[in-house]
Amino acid sequence: MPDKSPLCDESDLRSGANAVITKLGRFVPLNDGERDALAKLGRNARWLRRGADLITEGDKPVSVFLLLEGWAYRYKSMADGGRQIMAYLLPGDLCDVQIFLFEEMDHSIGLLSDALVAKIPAAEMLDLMDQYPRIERALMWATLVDEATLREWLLNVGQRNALQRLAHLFCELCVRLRVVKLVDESNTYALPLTQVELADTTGMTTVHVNRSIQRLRQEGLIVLKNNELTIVDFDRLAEVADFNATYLHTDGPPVEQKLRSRLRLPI
Amino acid sequence: MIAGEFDQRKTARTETFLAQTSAYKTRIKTDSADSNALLLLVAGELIAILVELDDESHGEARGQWFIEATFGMNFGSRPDLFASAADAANWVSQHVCHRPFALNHQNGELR
Repeated sequence: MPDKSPLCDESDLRSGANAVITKLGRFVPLNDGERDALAKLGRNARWLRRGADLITEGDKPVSVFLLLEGWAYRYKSMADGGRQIMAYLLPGDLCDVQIFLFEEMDHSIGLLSDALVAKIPAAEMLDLMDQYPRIERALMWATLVDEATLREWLLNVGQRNALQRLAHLFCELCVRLRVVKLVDESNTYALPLTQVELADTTGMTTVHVNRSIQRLRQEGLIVLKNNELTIVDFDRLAEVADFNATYLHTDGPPVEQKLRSRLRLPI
Repeated sequence: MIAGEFDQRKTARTETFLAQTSAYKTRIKTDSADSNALLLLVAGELIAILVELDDESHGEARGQWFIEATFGMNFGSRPDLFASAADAANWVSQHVCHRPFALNHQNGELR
């Protein structure tokens, strides 16, 4: 994004704020005051370059990062140069709400694309949660979904075959990006990932990633061109991957609403 | 079918190692056009499978060699690709025996 100034303009900020509001609103229905409070979190956001680390293993975390645009990833590096990617963070995602409670980071967070990122001081985050308990609960739901996602990723590297690993990842990203309206009606979304990054995510070599992508193409399941992925037949890809989107909690009424009606509690 | 006849020059430095290494050509199923493979053995035990990247989709990497799998050794992180089977075999053998895989380049079987 060479033409972007490091400071963001208002439209960037609006779409980024909308992403976090939409995302947290999937968990707990939010009122105007809560939406405004969330929108304010992004006010000091800046554009940062692909490849930069937001925070590195060993650092003392003092703030939370809110991703307004672009992609980030959570990873750990090995002494011999190996790397495992443990999560993708997409627009509207807060990178570890409780991060500042760690003495030091046990992993790193880096940028997979140029990204608009707001750095929220720990005090502000704590204050927000004290003031808006429903936002705090929405963040708790988001953390639970992050954990469920991590379990699926564990299943990916531990049990699924090469083809399934990529198929599962592509389905998951599609569902997650759909929430923040980054997937068009033909099931196409920007995939700012290299084969090396896909390999480090799925525990494969780039050669195996490449072969698996070819196979998914030949089967008529995906089109991948210029970092844009189209899922041609979502149901069939989901079947290949053994993908069930329930863990992402993106369908139906907000999660908290469903829980309360199950428990016969007022909303 | 033995693909690489190893350099049988009896130098003190390489003798033991040469006696212990061998390579076999084979075909491999990869769900792609990549089908030429070499099995690398040390002391009669399979330690690595090398594969020639032949599928069009590999783009610039086509024609290079890849360590498809390793066995029984901690190979750690390794280079993705090698210009030739000999380079890949050398890397494996350096890693396992701290010596190059001394092939007989004249017979041209290991590319």
